[in-house]
Amino acid sequence: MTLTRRAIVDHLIDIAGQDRVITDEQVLKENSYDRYKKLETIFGIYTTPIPAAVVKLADTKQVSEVLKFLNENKVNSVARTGGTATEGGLETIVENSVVLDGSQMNQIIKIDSTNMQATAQCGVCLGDLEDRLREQGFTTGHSPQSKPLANMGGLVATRSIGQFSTLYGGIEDMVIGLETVFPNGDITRIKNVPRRACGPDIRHVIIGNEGALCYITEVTVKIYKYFPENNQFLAWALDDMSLGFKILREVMVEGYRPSVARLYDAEDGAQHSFDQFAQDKCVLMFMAEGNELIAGATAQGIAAVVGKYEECTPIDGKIIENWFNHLNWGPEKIAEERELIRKTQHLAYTTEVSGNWDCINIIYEKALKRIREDYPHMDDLTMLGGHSSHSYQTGTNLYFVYDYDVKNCKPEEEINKYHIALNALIVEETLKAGGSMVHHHGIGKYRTPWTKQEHGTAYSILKGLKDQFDPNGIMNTGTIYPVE
Amino acid sequence: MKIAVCFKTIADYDRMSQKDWEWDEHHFVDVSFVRRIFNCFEESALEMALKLSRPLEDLPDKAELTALTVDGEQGDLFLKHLIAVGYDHAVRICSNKRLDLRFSPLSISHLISAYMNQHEHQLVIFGMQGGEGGNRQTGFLVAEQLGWPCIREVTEVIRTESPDFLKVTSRIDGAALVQIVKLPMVLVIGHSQGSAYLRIPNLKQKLDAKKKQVTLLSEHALKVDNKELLNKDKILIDLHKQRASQSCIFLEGKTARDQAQQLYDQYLKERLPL
Amino acid sequence: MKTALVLYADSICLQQQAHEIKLMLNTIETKFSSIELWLFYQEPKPEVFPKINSSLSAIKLIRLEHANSPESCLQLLECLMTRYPMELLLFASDGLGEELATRLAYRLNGSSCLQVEECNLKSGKIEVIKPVYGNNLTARFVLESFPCCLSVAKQPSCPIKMIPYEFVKIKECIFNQTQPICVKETRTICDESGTGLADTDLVLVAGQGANNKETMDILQGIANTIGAELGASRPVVMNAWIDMNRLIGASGLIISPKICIAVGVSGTGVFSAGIKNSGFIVAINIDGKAPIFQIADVGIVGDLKTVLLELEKVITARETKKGQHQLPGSGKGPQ
Repeated sequence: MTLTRRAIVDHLIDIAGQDRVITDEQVLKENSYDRYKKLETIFGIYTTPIPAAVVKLADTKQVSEVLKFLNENKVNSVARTGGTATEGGLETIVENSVVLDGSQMNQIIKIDSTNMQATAQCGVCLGDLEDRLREQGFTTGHSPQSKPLANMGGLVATRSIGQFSTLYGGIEDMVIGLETVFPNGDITRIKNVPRRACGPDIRHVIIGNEGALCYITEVTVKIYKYFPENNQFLAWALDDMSLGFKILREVMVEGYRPSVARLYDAEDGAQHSFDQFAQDKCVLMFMAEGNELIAGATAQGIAAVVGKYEECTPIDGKIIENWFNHLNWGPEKIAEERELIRKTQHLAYTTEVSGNWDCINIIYEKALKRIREDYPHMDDLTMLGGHSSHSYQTGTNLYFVYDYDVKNCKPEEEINKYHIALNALIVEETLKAGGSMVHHHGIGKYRTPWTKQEHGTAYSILKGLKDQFDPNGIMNTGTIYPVE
Repeated sequence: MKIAVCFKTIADYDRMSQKDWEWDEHHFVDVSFVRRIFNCFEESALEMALKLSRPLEDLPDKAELTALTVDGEQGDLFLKHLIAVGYDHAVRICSNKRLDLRFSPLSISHLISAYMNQHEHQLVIFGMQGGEGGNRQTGFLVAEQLGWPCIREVTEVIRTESPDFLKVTSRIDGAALVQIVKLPMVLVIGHSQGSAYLRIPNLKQKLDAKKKQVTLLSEHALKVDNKELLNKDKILIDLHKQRASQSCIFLEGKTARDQAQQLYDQYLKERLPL
Repeated sequence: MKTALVLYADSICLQQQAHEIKLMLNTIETKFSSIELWLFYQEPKPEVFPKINSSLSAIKLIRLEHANSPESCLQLLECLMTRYPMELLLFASDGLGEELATRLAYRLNGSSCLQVEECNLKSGKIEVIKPVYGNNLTARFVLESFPCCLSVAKQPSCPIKMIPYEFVKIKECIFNQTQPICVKETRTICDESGTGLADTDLVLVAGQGANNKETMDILQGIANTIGAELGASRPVVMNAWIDMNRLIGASGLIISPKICIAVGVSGTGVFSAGIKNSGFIVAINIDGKAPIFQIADVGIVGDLKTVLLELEKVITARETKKGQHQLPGSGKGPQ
């Protein structure tokens, strides 16, 4: 028997108390979406079902009690902390969903400088954790653009990655241990050890689950010594992306691990004002980080690699450093963005993918070509380009960036006419070329049509996890797993 | 109607920290590593002119728009951008590198007026403030040199039924002043909520703009005597930084309630009006 | 040095403008050979005048036939300068003062400068200091030619008294004036209401971090409760989340309340110029590295709405407590 909205709320109040169960309509509306849907929500249109309640969870025990209740009654839940997700993962697409807000579980539990670990609850803002660590000369090394706002729970749930990943890795390389609650109410703790071979690495059941399998309540991550005084920025202008990818690969294959390694095409670069010093050129940039010897050798080595290419013209590192220091999303920038959108009906989005070295340029060229040739509303686009920002031994990621004016279209129709359509073209070309349809933003709810294609025969492993841990299907329905 | 809008880009000062504000022996602050942007008043002016030139998309008598700047090569990118958003002509008066024009609105105005005298326009628009100097004088000086009326602190300008008149709204003492004014005139733009941002060109417009040229002019081409550009108005002696920042005491309460209580108890209680 | 102070009697900010000019006069160490007040007016003729300086040598009253006509003012000033040549003219800080200073200096082959904060006579020449580079620096200039026409910098509110000036020669100057031919129609629409921002002890200023109009409305409610006036930075005003006349900053109001609480505002040079004269500055911002903290006395890193709502409760609790301590028979019992 399906519980009514009122009954759900009453039960939640019984478990968590009146103060923690929010039913204010505006709050509910704001918790029904994330950064995938900007336009309609700015105009106060909410086509996604409004959740029944937002529960501000107090502690792990309460998470367990609430989840158990939801599971027993087959009520859909959406885990949420910082709210900066970009792929619709936070949308409450099922009627009378309950948003489980962990942002008040915001204690930094321990900073352990001997074992070089920091433990934080899911609602700790990464920016706060990072500030606290830096006071003591440490860093997590994790710096996504959402750092001022994103919380640890969401960052782990989405398998996020930061601007310094080429040195520090993604969140999966940083997590040591976790505490998690499963839909049946089981509280599980994975202990903090440096490495073990005690069966498969079960942390990876949790990291990246996007709230579709369990609720992350606590995270322990590695910490590193922080040497910002040794940071060195290097940059070059060059003519084409394929050469840029070639050089990026060479830097990685030679064994250098700069914390930042990025390649921008001219279009994407222009929106960052790179055209002011590298007009109609691609920009290749690196930041070397670490102790003095490592940072120095990294910078020297990269300069030697790039220096062999006459096509590359050096750019003053100070320009890139200044730009880089102003890249992150503070709440002011987000507010400014919403206001601009309201006034101009002009939107900017990204679709980011990954591929091995041998196919990344193919993905880049083919996806852009496909959009230019097949997308029916090209005239409405004001920017179309891309950049790579996370490189590996074996390949790299690729951000496609597209801006457009919404024309002749109601706010709630924009998503189908533009965002979903453009996203689809990029995903299709990426999968065709052998790449992965999403590098670090998570599948969310809008790339689920391709989840099976993405995983191929390995999909059964992924599906098995869902069958095992969420048999009642109450964990963020529509995320990762397509709704059948 | 031919409209000219004058602008001068600035460095994005919000991206500069205290330690970046240093200068050399010629009192030049190195801002080469910071991106350049339109100043907000000039951005409004540029957008306002676009709206004025074509109030309705299919209006036959579109006004001819010229964007004009006195600048080095760094101005060219912005001029190209303005072509992309709809400016018919983009002109850069090449500033003589040996002359420091930052604080010389008089010299700048001579160059602009010379251009206006060579190319007949009916309307010249400035932002209330622009460039490093933030002199706020160039518009007035050009009005003097051209012998045209000048309206300052303009918030809106629209066409009237008569092609020779414009309806100009501006700010005065505690009021809005609405005037129907005969062309030619100089307008100096203030805070314009209706034209806060410059429109964004689409891909096709950007591509088309690449094919068009920016017009470069020297003071010789404008027949402006070098002597006129020498600063006879005010000469820079030196620059000063603001007082060094004091140390702010951060309140460390665990909750907003704690912080608010601490703020009140320790700092506001004694200072608040009774 | 012969000096004239040029003001417009019908300006609603006359007393404040006079104060700003007075402050400028105080920065000039040199002795003046004479200081005159040149006061433009439309009927009725003024009978009291701003108390600018004890050593005013004369007041000249000039009737303006046409309102809102800078060209008329300029013609009159040219006539005055022909008859009564001055070396230094100080103009008001508003747009009219700036326009007149610039254009008059041009006509008379003199020098001009706007937003002048300080002024001095050195080796026979006038030196001035004004803000440059977006109010991040100030610059000192020497003015090359006389007459020097300066529009003074805006200052925090401190309107000057008006007095009859019994012992100063008051002369009416009458000149022919031509009708401005280019204006076909003209109409003024007065602002709906003023704000108390210039005079209040407690100001709450919000920046883009307020996010939307709804939050600004909440902040207005909080401001009303705690007895503060609400102001805002340029992005907020340009978004029409609040009236334009509440703009704080170099291109808006310069305020100097006892306490200024700046919330959700990053603190650019242009904005900071508007609040730096406050007695005590509290900054609340979610970004601990925001430049506003460099001019604040006390800072809170946190969500502005949450903190302010708590502050409102704290202040209200104090007010309630105060009410409870009223003496019996005072007419106000415990709340």
